[in-house]
Amino acid sequence: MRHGFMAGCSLSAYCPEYVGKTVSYLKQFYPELSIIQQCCGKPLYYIGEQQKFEKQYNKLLDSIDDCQVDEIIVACQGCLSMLRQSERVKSVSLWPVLAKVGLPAAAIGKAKDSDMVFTIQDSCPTRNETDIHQAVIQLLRELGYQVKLAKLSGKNTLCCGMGGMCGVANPKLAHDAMVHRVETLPTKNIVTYCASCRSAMMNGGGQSWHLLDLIWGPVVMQGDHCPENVLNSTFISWKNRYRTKKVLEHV
Amino acid sequence: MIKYSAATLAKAQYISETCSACRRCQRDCVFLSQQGQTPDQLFGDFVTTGKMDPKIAYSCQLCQHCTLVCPHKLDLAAAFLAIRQDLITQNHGRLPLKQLNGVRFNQIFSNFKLFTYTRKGD
Repeated sequence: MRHGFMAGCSLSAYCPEYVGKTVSYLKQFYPELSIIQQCCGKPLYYIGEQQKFEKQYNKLLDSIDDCQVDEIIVACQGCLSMLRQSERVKSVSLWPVLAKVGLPAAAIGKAKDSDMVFTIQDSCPTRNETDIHQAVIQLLRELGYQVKLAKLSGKNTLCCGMGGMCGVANPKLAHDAMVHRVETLPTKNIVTYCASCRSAMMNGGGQSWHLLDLIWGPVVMQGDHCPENVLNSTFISWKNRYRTKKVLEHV
Repeated sequence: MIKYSAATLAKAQYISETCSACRRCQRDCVFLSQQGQTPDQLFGDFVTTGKMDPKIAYSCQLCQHCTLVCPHKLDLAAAFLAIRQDLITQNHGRLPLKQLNGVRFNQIFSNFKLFTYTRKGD
């Protein structure tokens, strides 16, 4: 079976280095891995631009076909939820894949001496995909972190505030939703597996780490500050998307 | 005035007739709680008047938590999405909120070769 990898726009805008490291690692298990660095068109779908969305989405599916990919590994839950609607390609979330192949040896147990207790903001587009929720908990525990789940987690998760393009259409309401979501969580130290959710949790007053920050980055202790909220900067976000392309060209 | 499709109006009518106004959907949704009206009122008004403020239609986060907690499993997200689609298609492709133009620009930039890359594996 031939595999492909798709990081998604927001993760690419967040951290090019971690996208590159993830692809390098996956290639150890899937040497024939194809790279698909394209937008799925979900923002167009959300605002109701159905025709433009279909054009964008079919362009993505054509690229996946051109690479003869049988199964695409997707890091973004938004992209995954869109690809799930197609019968043309089989899609799988990155997180159960990492749980299956195992973390890099250097990452296993690296946080066993950390006093940090994380909660998880599950992504709402994949609220019904319990294998993803379980994989994320498993990966955090294998890293060595303690996890305290929110009452509203897994399939009961709440939106981070950015969903449905609300952040664009009604920023005040989106901010209120971000603050509300952080208030519903048992700790302000929040792990996400969506770069947009991470940004939203920070805008809502939390400290938030992407799961890839914890796999590839330094061990986090209580009181540590999370990485900068780069998605709040349009310039840095686009610069990072360009940098991600350059990183992927050489992986 | 926007002429909404029969399919959109049918979705709205079903919600307005089925919602029992239990307000469970408002408990954890900032949008629905701030909006104030229960779904039966909100969509009932829409069916009656044929109008909905675009800012309301575009404030739903489409996360479907409301469907999860609704005793009737009403799909509010699908109704709001259908209204959004009609707001554009029935208005000759013009966006109903000027801030949504940013999404169009974002999509155009996303397709620039500066940001896209495809490589077939060996």
